[in-house]
Amino acid sequence: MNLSRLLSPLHQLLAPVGQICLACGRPMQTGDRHYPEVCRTCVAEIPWIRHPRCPRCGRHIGCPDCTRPGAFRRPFILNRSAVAYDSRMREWLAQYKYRGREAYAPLLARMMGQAYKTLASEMAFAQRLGKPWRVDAVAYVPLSSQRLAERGFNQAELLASGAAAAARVPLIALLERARDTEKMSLKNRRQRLNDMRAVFRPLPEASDLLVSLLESRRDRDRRPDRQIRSPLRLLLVDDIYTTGSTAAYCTEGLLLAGEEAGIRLEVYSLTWARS
Amino acid sequence: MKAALYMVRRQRGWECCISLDIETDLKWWTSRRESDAECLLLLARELPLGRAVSLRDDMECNSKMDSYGSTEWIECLKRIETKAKWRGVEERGKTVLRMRKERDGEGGRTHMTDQIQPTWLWMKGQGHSPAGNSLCQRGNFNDERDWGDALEAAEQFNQALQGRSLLVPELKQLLESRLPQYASGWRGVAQLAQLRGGIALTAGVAPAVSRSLQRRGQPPRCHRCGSAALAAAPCASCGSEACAYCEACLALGRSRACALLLRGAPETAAGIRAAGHAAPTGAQLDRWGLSPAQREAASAALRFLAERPAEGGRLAGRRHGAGTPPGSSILRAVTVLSHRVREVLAVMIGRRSPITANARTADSRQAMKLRHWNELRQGKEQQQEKEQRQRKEQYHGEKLRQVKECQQTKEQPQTRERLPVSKPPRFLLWAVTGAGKTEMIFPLLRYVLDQGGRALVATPRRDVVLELAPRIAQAFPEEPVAVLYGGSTQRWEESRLVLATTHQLLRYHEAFDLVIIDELDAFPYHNDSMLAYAAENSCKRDGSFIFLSATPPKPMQHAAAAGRLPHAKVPARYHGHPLPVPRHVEAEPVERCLSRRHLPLQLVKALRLSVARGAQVFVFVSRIRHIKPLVAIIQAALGSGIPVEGTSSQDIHRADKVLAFRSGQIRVLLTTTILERGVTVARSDVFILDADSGLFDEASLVQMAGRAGRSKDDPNGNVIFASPQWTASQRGAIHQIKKMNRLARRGNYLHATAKEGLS
Repeated sequence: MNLSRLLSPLHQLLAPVGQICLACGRPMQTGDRHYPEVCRTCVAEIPWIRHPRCPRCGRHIGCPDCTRPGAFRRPFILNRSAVAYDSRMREWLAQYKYRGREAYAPLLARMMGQAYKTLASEMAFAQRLGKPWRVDAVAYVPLSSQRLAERGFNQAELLASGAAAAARVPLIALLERARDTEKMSLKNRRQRLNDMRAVFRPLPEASDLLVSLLESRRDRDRRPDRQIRSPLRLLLVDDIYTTGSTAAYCTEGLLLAGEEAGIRLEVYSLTWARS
Repeated sequence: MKAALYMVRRQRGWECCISLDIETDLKWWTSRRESDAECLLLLARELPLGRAVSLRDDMECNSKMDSYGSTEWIECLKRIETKAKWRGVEERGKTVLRMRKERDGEGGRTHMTDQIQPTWLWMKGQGHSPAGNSLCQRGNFNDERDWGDALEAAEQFNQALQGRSLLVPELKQLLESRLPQYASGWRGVAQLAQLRGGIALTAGVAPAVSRSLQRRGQPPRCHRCGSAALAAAPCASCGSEACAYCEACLALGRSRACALLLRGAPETAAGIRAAGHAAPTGAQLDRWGLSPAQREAASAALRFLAERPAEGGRLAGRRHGAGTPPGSSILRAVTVLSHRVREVLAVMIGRRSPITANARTADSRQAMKLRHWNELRQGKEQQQEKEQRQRKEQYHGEKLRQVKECQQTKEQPQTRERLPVSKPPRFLLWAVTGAGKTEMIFPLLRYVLDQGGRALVATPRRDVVLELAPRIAQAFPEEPVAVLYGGSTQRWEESRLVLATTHQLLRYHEAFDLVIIDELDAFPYHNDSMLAYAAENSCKRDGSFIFLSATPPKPMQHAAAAGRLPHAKVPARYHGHPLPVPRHVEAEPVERCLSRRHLPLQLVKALRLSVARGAQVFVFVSRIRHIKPLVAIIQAALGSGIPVEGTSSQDIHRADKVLAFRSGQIRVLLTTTILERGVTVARSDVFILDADSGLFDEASLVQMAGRAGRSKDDPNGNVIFASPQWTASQRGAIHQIKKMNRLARRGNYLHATAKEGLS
């Protein structure tokens, strides 16, 4: 027995470094190449939306919202999402967002980067561009200051940082949340839609930021006149897209800021999950 | 969260405090008649709570501070901060941070000097400074009535938090359910409660302290669960770039460096020992209807409980000595000594004259403070004279402070946060499976409750909690029992008798006089230092621990055998029959049985025999994936008339199946170690397949074997270990069972008829 007491620290010293999968908690030998935090089984089970069935809202299954008569009157061009919001993804998001397990942060941000790349290649193909499709900046859905202080971080901002890193464009704060709405999940569809008006306002410095963005693009590009005519393209990031109303109201806020600055805007929505 | 940091000069010296609501503090120190405050100095209006707490805890107050000006205060704080380091913290979310910095231009880094601006608020005889006045004018306390209400609120708050350890979201839930009127303005109430001494405010995660001898230092620790907090992320609520948080206890809400942790003071023990109960006599045990073996063990445990008060004084004395870490006392001695040497040298050289005690007149002190007030620096001579005096004062003051620290009264607001240095005494009740452990704890609970104490029964498993709850409620009909588990509705109820899963203990701090841990060797309590810390913390310093187990972990067995751990064994079951001794049957591994699609003949015969004698059959396997195919094979072997089912941790109908098995609707139940304990089925036989598997250790083999023969009607069940190999754990399990049977026979706990059966 004494011998084992002596030997066990040695065994531990020689044992391989045990890494544990962030999601399923099982020990793993080697993680995935792109997502080293989670084991290969968990990576394989990520329900990526590679081919959205609805070209507007990016849903992976048929969507009644967009097929409804008078459908898709949304101020943003379209929405794309990284993954389908199944029970596993719900658990991941809950772990990060509500539990505050920030070890998920880099993982989710990289997933967002992947989603951005998918969107960019899809757009380049659809618009028959000879060159890569790109956005000019990434914006995100804000939290109210009270909620931010409570939670300590804005999950949309983190996800947006992943997309911005992949796109190599600046991440900018353009919006603020004027008041807190009650928990969205406790409401029905109509209540949700009515509730969100005038909640998202552009920040005071938003129009200046947009102007400087446009200027930096002009500096970068050799042919100024063509570029001026084309609108400024923004990517709006949120964690989850359910009815699209949050994205719609944020887009309205962004367009308002653009109007103030006298700049035409094109807003694309990108979310981490699509329910 | 952010908090204010201020200094208060009282008669006995300076004190450093944090505040959630500085106005309350001003009112508390300045306008109470009994207040002995002489002046108040605000160091910082808004600091990240973690920093404020660590500054408060590490500040070494001395009378030199009387002469400090702004720069000295900032120097002093800087000195402390260099000691506390957030070492070994992995910063997460770096990318976001970089982005944010780019956006803000030079980056959001806030320098210490920006946050710390020493400002005088109030001085005795001088009244409020402009800054103090502006703080007071917010007007939460307009007249005495408001103040009286606030005091009343703080008292209720203290009562509600007694023995609790809560983070702010939990506090809010508690207030919502018990004191809804304070839910919104809790900061002021909490601050007043802290000033009154009923609660201690601290941070969720404490920084590592690097001492000179320990160069690497320790990682930050979570104050709530005791684990090392190795992760950090930028935090919007305190503005810090790397706010460390604890990943171990995330499930109960996030504990981070800037999260406020409120700890209620332990309930005053005045009523408890006053009665001076003698060791309970046999008469008190009679009413519980215990078997002789149970009775003997219960009375041993009761004697252990009754011995405690006499021992308490001695232990308490030792604890005080051990309270100050050895390193710091040496350091302190060295600094005092060096001051002394310097003083003597100065006198010898003749630069200074040794001062006399009467230099310390009240007048000069008042004048000195006046100069502070105007932030005027002193003339050089005065400065020197004062320094000397303070050095002397410090020398005596240091000793005084040490003494005072020991006598820390309830009124003193800054109860220093330390890990418990001495463990409450422990007692092990080693009772075989089916001995009737639950009945044995009743007299212990009764004893503690009768003395006015609070008792806790904790167990790692939720199903066990739910099973115990009605039995305890029945035994103590007049005592409301709080049953706590994840999602329990009784979470915030006040009760003297608590039944909880071990995770819930993280929400308690020095709350119980008696902590009983049932099944301490079960998952997840076993080998989880966080839960052990929680259990230890939930017990009062002068409380006691009782462990209950049929299969205590090896170190504990050794400690018991060596006499280091007081214990009592209950070697016989309540019905007075010996434990069924397992029989080994050589059988192929389950894996091969599955591929050949049939079981070894010997095993099938034994199964048929068990079913034929009318027994319920437990079949334990090592792997969940074996269950489904094995159910089909056993069903085929036994014929379709015998209902066979399988269940595991992944089965949502587990509870229903167990019920059906108990009632006899299912005759053969295949399962994993998930059902190895806590399940009692009247007439049962146990088959353990792959008993040589590494997943079955000695303890779980004993536990599984303990499922057989538990009822009076069928005391001799069959237990079969089926395995190709004979392993140490199987041998150990059989050895343990036989040993207990021998002890039972020697202690005359077995029935005459049962004894004959033993060889």
